[in-house]
Amino acid sequence: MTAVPKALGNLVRAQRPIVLAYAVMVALFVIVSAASPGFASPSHLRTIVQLASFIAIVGIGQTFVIIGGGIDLSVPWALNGSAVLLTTFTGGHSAQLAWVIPALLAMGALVGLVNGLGVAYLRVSPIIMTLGMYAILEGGLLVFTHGGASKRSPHAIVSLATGRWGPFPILLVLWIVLGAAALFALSRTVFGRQLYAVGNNAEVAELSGVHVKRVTVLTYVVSGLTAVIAGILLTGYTGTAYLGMGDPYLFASVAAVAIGGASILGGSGHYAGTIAGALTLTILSALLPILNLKPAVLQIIYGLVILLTVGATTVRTRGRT
Amino acid sequence: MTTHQPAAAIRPLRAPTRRRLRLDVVEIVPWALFALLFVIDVILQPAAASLSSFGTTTLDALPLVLVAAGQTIVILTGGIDLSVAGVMSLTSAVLATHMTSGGTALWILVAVGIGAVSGYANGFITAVLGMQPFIVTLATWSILGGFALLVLPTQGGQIPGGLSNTLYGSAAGVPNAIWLLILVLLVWAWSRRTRLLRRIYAAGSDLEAARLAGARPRSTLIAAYVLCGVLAALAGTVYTVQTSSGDPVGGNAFVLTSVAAVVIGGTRLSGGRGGVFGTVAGAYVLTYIADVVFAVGLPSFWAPLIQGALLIAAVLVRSLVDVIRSRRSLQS
Repeated sequence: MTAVPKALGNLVRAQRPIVLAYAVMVALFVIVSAASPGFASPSHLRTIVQLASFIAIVGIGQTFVIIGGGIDLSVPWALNGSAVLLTTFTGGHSAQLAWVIPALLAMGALVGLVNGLGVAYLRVSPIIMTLGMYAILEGGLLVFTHGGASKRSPHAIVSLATGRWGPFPILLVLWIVLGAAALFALSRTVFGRQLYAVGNNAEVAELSGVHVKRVTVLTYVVSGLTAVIAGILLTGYTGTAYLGMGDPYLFASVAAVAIGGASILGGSGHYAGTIAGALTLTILSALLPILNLKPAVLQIIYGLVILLTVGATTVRTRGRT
Repeated sequence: MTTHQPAAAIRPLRAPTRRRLRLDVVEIVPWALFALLFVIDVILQPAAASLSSFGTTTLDALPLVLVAAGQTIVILTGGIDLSVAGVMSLTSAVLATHMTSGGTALWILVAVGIGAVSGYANGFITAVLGMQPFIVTLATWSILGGFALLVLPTQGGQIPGGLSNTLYGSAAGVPNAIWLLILVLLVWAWSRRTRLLRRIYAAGSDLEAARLAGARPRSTLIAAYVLCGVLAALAGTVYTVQTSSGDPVGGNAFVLTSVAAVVIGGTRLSGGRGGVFGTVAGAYVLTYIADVVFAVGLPSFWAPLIQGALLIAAVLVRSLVDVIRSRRSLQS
């Protein structure tokens, strides 16, 4: 009978940062919904979950990359690219999606592949490689769209991103599917174990037979893919695509991973934490209109959250060693 | 980043001043590249060869020169400052909304103050708490950018006309922008001999050796980030005066270009080697690329594409040079 509390106690001890992230998220939610009637209404909850899903989906890739000891600064433009190319290639016609979505996914994988090859094989630092990719994608898209006018998204994507499956938003269902895959990959696969090994110490991992370069490349490929998926869904949710719609997702995805307790140096953290991070950030953003604050405050909050959580993780890990 | 270079570690405090006297290939390359682009530009549009035209391009390059000079100082310590974008955006927003013709000097001081304070915060958090520079400055970039949008939600505001007249004017037949550039180079030539700059080079060469040599890396690091913040604020000021209006996200483009100017200029990303002379050439290279893109009739959107590719190419070439050199020094 004591097995369950004991296992729970072990879990809390082993995953303290993640448990803490959920505690913060729940506490925040309770306080806000007590202070503001209607906050916890089903329709508002649906909106929060839908908005959180974009951060959380971009956060899948960012979590993988950060656990591996890197960072992906190119996500805003991978997202912009997928959004704008989706509306351009389909011309607003749902029938075209059959080839456009696979093409976009391939493009996301290619962007990640180039990032990963640069970081792993050419030994360019992740910041520089993904910053360069950021500029290349930005320039490439501006060239392609001649400065980029906003365009309508196909109906099928709109109904996918805004639709419901019973009481649940379809976005939530998609997030659960993708998130479950991420959780499974990190916890239950060889790749997951190797990824933590690479993030902890790449040399040791290499010596113990891990193909470090392949693992690193794969994390960036995942990040390119999830940014593209988020771009597709966001285009459906907002009904249009414009350059700049991905801008907040760099800070947001890094902040979500940081709240989730991952060390920015790699080797620790989990997607379970990123989920709590994405929800926390979204609750905070839903708080702004209630407090009569401008949306720009959100960007300040992202920054403070990154500083505080990464600072706490840094101090904690330094105390341990 | 873990490649130790024993030779550099033993004589870090004197190496910069002594070794710089001998010209390094890495230092010539950016100037050669600049010369090549200049010649191409002149062939495409002969008017580019005139002094006034060179002055115009120099004015275009000036914000980048200033912010990249600051970026150089931080990269010499082995760090990176992504928040220069936020500093530039915030100073742009503040100046365009508040600056009056009577108080230009005061408001430039305020801008410099913004840069100094945010630089101090970056340096303090990086040096004292031991956090990674890129994540600290990513966070402060977000915070400063948020404040910029609060001050000025969209492009707008204006700048007193007198300032832009000064910037676009000329003295003794030479455009003021060129005088300002000469000033930057002179200040760098002087400051390179100062104790602070030698400590900054030492911090980048080997932090531990620098600490043992009594270089107090904490205050050195903080000083480096403060200098970078101040230079970014000045860059933001020039940028705002140049466009004579404010842009709350205008700084974002400078994250890439400032780092690219430093890398193309030959400064090593892991720190300890390089300097502002090379960076100035790097800034000119990036500016002339935009000029050439315009001259051949391509839309200006091509510029970031080429600049991003050039950054990665420069990093690759630089690491290749380092690899060849370390092999050669192993053989001898």
